[in-house]
Amino acid sequence: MSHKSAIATVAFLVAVLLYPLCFPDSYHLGVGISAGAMAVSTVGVVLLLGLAHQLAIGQAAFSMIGGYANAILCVRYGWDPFVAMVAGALLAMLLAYAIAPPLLKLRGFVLAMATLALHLMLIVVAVQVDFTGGPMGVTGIPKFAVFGLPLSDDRSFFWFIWLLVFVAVWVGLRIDHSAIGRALRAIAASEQAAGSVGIDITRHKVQMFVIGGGMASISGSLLVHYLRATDPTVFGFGYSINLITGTIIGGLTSIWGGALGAAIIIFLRELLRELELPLWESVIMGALTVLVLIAFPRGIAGFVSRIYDRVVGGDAPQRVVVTEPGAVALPTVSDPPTLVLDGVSRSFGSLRAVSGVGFTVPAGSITALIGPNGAGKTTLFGLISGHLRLDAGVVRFDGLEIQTLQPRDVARLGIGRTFQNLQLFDNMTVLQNVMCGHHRFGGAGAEQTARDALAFVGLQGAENHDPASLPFGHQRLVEIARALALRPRMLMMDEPASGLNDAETERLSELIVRVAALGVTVLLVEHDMRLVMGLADHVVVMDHGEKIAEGAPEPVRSDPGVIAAYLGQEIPARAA
Amino acid sequence: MLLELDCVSSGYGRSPVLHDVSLTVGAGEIVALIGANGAGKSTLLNTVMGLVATSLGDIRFDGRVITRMPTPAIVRSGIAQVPERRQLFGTMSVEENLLMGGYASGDVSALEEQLVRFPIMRERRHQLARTLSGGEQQMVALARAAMSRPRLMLLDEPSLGLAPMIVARIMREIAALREAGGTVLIVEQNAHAALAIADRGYVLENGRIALEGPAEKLLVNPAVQEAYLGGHGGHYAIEARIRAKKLELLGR
Amino acid sequence: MDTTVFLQLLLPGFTTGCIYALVALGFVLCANVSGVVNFAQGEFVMLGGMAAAWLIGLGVPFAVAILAATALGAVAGAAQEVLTLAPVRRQPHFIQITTTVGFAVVLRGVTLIVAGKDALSVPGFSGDGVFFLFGAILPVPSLWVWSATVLLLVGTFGFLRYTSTGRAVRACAINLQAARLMGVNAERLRVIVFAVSGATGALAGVVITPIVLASWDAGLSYSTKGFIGAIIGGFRSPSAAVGAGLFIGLLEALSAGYVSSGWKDFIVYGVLMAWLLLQGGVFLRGRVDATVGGP
Repeated sequence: MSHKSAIATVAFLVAVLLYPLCFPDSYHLGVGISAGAMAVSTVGVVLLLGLAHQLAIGQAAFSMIGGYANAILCVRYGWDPFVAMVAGALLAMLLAYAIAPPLLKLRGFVLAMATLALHLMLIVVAVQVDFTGGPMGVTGIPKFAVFGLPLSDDRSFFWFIWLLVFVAVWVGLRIDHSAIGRALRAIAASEQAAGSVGIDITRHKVQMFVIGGGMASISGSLLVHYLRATDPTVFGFGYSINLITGTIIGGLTSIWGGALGAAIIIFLRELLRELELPLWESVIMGALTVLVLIAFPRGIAGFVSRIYDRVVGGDAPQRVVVTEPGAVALPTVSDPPTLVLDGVSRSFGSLRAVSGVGFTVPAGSITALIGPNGAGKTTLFGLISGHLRLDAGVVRFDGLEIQTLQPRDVARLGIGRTFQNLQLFDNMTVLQNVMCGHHRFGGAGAEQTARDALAFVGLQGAENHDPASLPFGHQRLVEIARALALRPRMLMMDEPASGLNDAETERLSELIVRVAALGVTVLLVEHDMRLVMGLADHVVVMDHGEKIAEGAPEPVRSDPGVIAAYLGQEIPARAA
Repeated sequence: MLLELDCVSSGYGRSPVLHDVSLTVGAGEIVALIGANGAGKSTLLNTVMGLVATSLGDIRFDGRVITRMPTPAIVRSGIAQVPERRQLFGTMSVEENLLMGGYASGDVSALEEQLVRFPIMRERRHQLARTLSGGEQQMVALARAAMSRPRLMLLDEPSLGLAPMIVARIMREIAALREAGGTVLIVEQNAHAALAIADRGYVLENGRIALEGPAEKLLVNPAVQEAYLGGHGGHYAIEARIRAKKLELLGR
Repeated sequence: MDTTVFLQLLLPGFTTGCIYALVALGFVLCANVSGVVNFAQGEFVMLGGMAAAWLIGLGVPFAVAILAATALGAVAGAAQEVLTLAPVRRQPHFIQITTTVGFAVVLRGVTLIVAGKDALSVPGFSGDGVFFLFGAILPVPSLWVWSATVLLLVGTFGFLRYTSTGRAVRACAINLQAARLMGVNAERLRVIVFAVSGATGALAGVVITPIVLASWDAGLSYSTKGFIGAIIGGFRSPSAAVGAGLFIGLLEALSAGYVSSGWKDFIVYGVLMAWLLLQGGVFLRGRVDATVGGP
């Protein structure tokens, strides 16, 4: 556990233990209970919104399910509140699981609207249906009890609720620090790159939606047992907004921030009531949201963490040094794979970007794909890596047809790739970025693999840096290290030398040779001919979406068709 | 000199693309800037337009420093760019595209001239721009840039994606611009097409000017071909070193 | 089916549909020029209605109140862009959207403080009588809504189609990079578009207030319904958004009449969900995110 986590845990426990002793009156305990109930669900909001950037703003729908399930089960059927709470959570999670796959294919604002619509629909149901008590809701909800053991005084209920908050935070932290947490951040930063390292995007989004739904449901259960009654206005639009606002103020990217934000929101609301300014609540909440988003996008938790780093010195970032590549031996590939393309075509509207292209990337070779601008090289790359669908043709990797696979499945076969425009995960450190490459093998051993990959590309001391703070050439190396952490059998690089200076280009070429020496088949698209002609065993030339030549570098370089493609046809001079 | 770049370095964020580039375009000239893709040709044009930040050096237009001017002011000062791949406003009519060309100056009086110059545009005036063929779209892009009656036109890869016949037609139009007193800086990968109409040329390689000279001389200079496809010349020592390293480590 | 009953349901639905259509239009304009879906769109309607009702309550003449409320909408829209959206332009997309939600909450709160919790009513600007159309009885203020909508639609589409600034707005939406090359100042256009959509929303709010009471918490409903219109209209085309907004108004009124007024929202949101989950291919492929969402 890091220092910061330890300090946060101690501060949390001390605050939770002392609060009821310092404020034993029922009013203050009640405020603390409401805050705790909300904190259970804001942890879920951090997972979904803060880590994965999925704008599901209708989380109150699940709180409503939990709240009503408890109200009805306890009042009408005499269930034990704890059992009812668990049942409500299961119900919410089941519903979340059922609707998540289609729902989470929606993106951005459309997802926001869809989840909001779901919430508003549930409110209509609650108002209209007799079973839920209509507009009057359900009253006479018993105090909370665990298997018949009532938590009769508010103090024990307070501690119970904050115990649940602690459990939620613990679950959240476990997820955050696992391979799943990294996967979520990767999805938030670039779904394309996340797929390229084998991350199953839909699965992880669904997981978080279900867990967040369960947490929201428990939070709703706890709230109705405190209020002893529920009606449709308890879980209205304002409740959803408070969840989001609380999370933003506390700190979107920190599990602790979620819990902290819930507490702040509730205490602020009470403070305004005491100051007899209840009408100001929404102005202040709204203004705080906007101000925090503008000034501290990481909220209070991020702010405190930065202050801590400044005071204590934090993990002072090391100086980044670039060394010779290949300093550490990576596992070799014993049976280098062959890639065969046959009749591959893809059109965009009327433009035939790739048309009937077929060639073989020999096992263990360095093969370069070249051609003038707009020749279709990057499109072809996307077709191989599964990021684009082809219209016709076959792509075989070691005899296996892969043209219908998703990027994550292509990656899991051992095909790593880098992107023309760097696609690093800018919300993670360099080390975490590279650890994402290890995703297909799970969490164990990820860190060692990542450190080895970084040493192999020759980047030292960069582990704890923010990738965006590194010079461009170093960022390219990080991306290559991430692809190597996948332990690829084939590595595809899209313009790895673009933006590099001569010295960096030369280092890069040595790195590529060392990758090939591991037995990895290398396919690269590149414009820098010095690199291509010096490195490649085999060169494939494309123009206007078609293959126009292929062979060893020297014959290709002097092929008249290739020269014409690059320099243009002779045009009757001074035609004007 | 109408346009002068004086030791300009520029790029995107932390990724430098141009290094220490000096280049001039005199009034009434057609200057070609050629080189393989990725060499930084488009970046150079976008640097002139103020769309890419200049980190070092100065750009002067008609003697006035425009290095850090906002794009609208640069357009108003008399430079127009025909961007790579045309970049027409596809769901606007041909006429509206042309009118957009006069947006910065607020003067659309050149519309009639352009319709006279390109009769096809009068015919297709109300048709959506995206329904035109590639060659027609390139004509519209040229006419759109000409709407502001610029003193300097920057053309970015006008031949891209066009059939050779159409390329010849476009190049004739560009040559005609000079006859009408215009000045052109044309960026092309298609070196033959561009040098055929240009007075002078520059070869850009990896963000640096590698060669410059009269167009006819560049056309026959073997170094031009090497700039595109590499070669064995002295400044390709890197290629040889890469090959040696490969031999050492891979044995092939 | 009884035609008179049908029309008696349909025509008032058309009136609310006009408001949704104008909100949907604002959504599409803002989204296309700024890349942000503005969840405060419906709050402009609320703001216009409340401002007009509040001013008229103070004894301000109708004409002045209407103008002032519309101007307030324009100022609110421009302020939103300048004060809240421009500073987060480089942040991730979901933060920009959340910022608009925060701004919506502020507008609600400020209105609540200034004008109070109670819903406000306004007499019709030309009387509260009724008139008959195809056998249906309609309040006279409906005519104000209809004519204001026609006026605003003609004005907006005319602006986009025939003015050079309007053309530049469309150019930015189609191809921002090319628009910049033409010398378009995209930042300034964003402010203009937000002001225009704020004013449009506010005027819509003014004319609907004699029919529906103005209340500080009415904005959410306008936002969601208008937004549904914009989504079903495909988020690219202003005219499709207007059509879909009208459709939502009609659907709502018919649901209220033939099913129950309590379930009408359920039906409208249900239609949205069904549409998104079954048909929303454009959104599933994420293309709209790339155009509306991205720069």
